Amino acid sequence: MKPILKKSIGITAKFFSSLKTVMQHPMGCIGVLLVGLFLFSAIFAPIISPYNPSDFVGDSLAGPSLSHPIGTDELGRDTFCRVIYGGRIELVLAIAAVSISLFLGLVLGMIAGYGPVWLDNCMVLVFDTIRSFPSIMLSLAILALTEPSVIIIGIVFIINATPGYGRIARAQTLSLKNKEFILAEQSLGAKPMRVILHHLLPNIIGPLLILCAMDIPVVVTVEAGLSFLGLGVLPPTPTWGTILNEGFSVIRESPWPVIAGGVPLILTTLGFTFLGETLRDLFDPKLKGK
Amino acid sequence: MLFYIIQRIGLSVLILFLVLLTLFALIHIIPGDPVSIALGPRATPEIEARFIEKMHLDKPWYEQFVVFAVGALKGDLGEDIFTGQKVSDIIFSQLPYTIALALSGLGWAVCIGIPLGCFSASYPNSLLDRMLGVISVGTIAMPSFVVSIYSLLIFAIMLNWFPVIGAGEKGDLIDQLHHLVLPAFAVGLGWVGYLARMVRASMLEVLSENFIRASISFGIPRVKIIYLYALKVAILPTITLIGIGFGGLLSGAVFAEIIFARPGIGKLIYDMVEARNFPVVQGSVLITAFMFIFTMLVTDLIVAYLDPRLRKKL
Repeated sequence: MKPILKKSIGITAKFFSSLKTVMQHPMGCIGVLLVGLFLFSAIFAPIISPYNPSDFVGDSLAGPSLSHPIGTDELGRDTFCRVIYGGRIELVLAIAAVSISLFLGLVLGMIAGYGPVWLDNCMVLVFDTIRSFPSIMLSLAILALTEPSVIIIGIVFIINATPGYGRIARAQTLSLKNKEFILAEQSLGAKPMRVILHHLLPNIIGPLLILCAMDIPVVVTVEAGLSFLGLGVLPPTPTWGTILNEGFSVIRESPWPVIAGGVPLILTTLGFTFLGETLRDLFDPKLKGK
Repeated sequence: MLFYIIQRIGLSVLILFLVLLTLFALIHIIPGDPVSIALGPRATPEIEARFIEKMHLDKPWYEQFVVFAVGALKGDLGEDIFTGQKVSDIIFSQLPYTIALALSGLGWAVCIGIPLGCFSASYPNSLLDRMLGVISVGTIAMPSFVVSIYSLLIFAIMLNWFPVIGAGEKGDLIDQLHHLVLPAFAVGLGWVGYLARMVRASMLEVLSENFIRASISFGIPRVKIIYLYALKVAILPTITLIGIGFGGLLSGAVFAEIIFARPGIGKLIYDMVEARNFPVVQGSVLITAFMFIFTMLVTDLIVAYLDPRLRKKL
């Protein structure tokens, strides 16, 4: 058997055995189901949804019916399709924004932790400065100067989240830096790059990945919140934020659009939070309850 | 302790300086011409020239920064682009509404969350404890602006129990409180879960300590031990949490103000962002960041006072 194939089978087996462990906890089980639902509906959106999200297919603000499971919006577009397609944008945005923040946080945090003390102090100061802006205020200040778009929302999240990742990566690096196995590696003449990539990285990435799982709903919330305010994604692009935004303006006429925009947001957030909490309790007992 | 206080205040001042620098730099770093963004495409060259002169945009950047920073430290945050009103006056007329909202939201959450946490900790791993645990995580996970929208939908529009918009008549306390209920509920809901979890975790730790076991063996009633002796110690991490959570509280307040159309600093910033009135945005963000830094400083000092071990780490 080819080694790559063997390795991938090993990883798949490990994934399923961890999934089984997570599923044994009631909270983890709900989390996996909700996250699965979110991923499934986002990936298979074109197959699941009966209409095109921007087609006018029904009466304005109709209630739920067989042909429109959660009604239609003001322009007569099917809300169900818009929610499903909205999930797609949320998923892509969340994965992109979280991965970039993780990457930047890891690089900056490990440089701060492994590098000279003056550099460490400077970077911690920069991290703390960004963290000392209430994030909503910093986001609004940035949005005041830019045109609303999906990319800006991603950037806003990255600016707010990177210091958090950086702080954790730095703390982990600092605590590992003087361990025997690193010192041994250094005394064998390993270059800093090798020490960081081969020895520090695998040991500090675990807790950060759990943080990533818990940050995906944060991106979704940031998008929904800013788009709800009309400062993020703009209509007619369907996202949960724009559905809420359009629904809020007709809230007295029909509650359905607002319900349709908010419920998937709550379910996704709950799913990822439950999953993250369970993962954290299972794999990192030190962090339990924090 | 004195050395720690000086060090901690020094750090806050340094961060404040960097915050000033960041806010100033935002205009210059972000691509796009601040003049055309603020005034729109229809501004005549004369209006643009007057704007550039008023905002000191014709001077080199370091001079602009000095003007901005010195002004900010003196309490002069510049003028509204459109009305010429002083930014500091505008902000301070809105601030009390936001503080009232944030404090009442936090207040009810403290009154419910802390006893819930104590209760969970006194019956650990019981069915009720687990249910409270799931509910806590649930309330934490629920985005506060969705809670605002749904509580508006259910209690104001469908049931008609509470008014939909505004902050109530000036001078009529009952009316104002009536308007405050829903926004405060929405702002505080997530905090109930946070506080309950935090208090439960630290309470469980405290309950296994020797002085508690000694109190139990003296025959002191359990309720008295938990709520009087253990809570005093277990509340410490919660104080830090409230300090750090100020930012979250503020973002909840921003959304609640916009959704319930209440006056306040969040509504102000939102309106000014929409109008591209950058001096007011800059001033409001600066004031809130200042309040945030100050809260963090005070919480750190309180915690260091209560727990001397923490004084060594900055």
